[in-house]
Amino acid sequence: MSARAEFLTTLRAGLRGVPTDAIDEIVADYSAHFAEGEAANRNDADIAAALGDPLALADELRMELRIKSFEAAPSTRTAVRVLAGTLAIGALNTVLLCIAGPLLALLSLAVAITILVCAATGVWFLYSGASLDLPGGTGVTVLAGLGLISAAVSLAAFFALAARAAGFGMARYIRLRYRLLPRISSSGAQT
Amino acid sequence: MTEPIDIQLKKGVLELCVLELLSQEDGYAYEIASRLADAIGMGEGTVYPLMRRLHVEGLVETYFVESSAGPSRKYYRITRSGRAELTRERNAWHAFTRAVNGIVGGRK
Repeated sequence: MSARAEFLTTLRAGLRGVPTDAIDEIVADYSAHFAEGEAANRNDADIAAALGDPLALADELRMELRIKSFEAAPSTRTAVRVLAGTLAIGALNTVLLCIAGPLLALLSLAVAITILVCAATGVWFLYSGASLDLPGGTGVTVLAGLGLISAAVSLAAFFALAARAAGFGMARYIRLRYRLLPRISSSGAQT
Repeated sequence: MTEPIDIQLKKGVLELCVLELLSQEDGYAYEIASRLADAIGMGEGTVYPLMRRLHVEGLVETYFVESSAGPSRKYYRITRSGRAELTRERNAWHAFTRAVNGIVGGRK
């Protein structure tokens, strides 16, 4: 396979999962680059070498698209896609991620359990407040139930907001970081 | 994941350089890539993800021009918000280099 065909094929393969029209546009850009280079009397192997590693380019292009789709529609799914892409290009320190990841998961679990317990207790108080015979009587039990439920709701809302803000912060950080990552050097080295 | 400091520096100012070139005249990616490759020693492929991002962010717009060399060329033109961004980045660059020069100083 010629250097040009190999570059374009590898690039296309590396972009798998990206919308087809975006892939076509990207491949057309690089294909035009080869055509321009050829018109300037350069050979395909030189041009490909100067362009750099097509897989690294694909990773970066895909990462940008993922961050964009997360920013357009923040959700767990798009956030996970950003994270997965981040791992692929090594923009986050893996050690950091191994520590922070489980910690974050534990924290989320703890918050989720707290919310569930609050809500369940609140509902239980409301549902069988009279028969519980708690100190203060039925009125206080019902009020406590309502209080617990609203606490659960506000906690959930707060956590959702915090998670959203954290996602956006992370996207900004990753973008900053990967722009400074080894992209292409003339030797094509990628650390 | 360490890399020579000059590569990091170059990457940091790549966007500024591209916007600066486009503010002088419209250009196509191959031309921009080779100018930057010659001037600051960047890999030529680096410019394409950057052009895409600038386009998505509305800092540049594209149009096609028939070329004698073959297929029509995609030209990039800087937009109004691109110029605003260029001014911001240029100011940041001058402030930064002034501050660093004040510390690093000239060679005696």
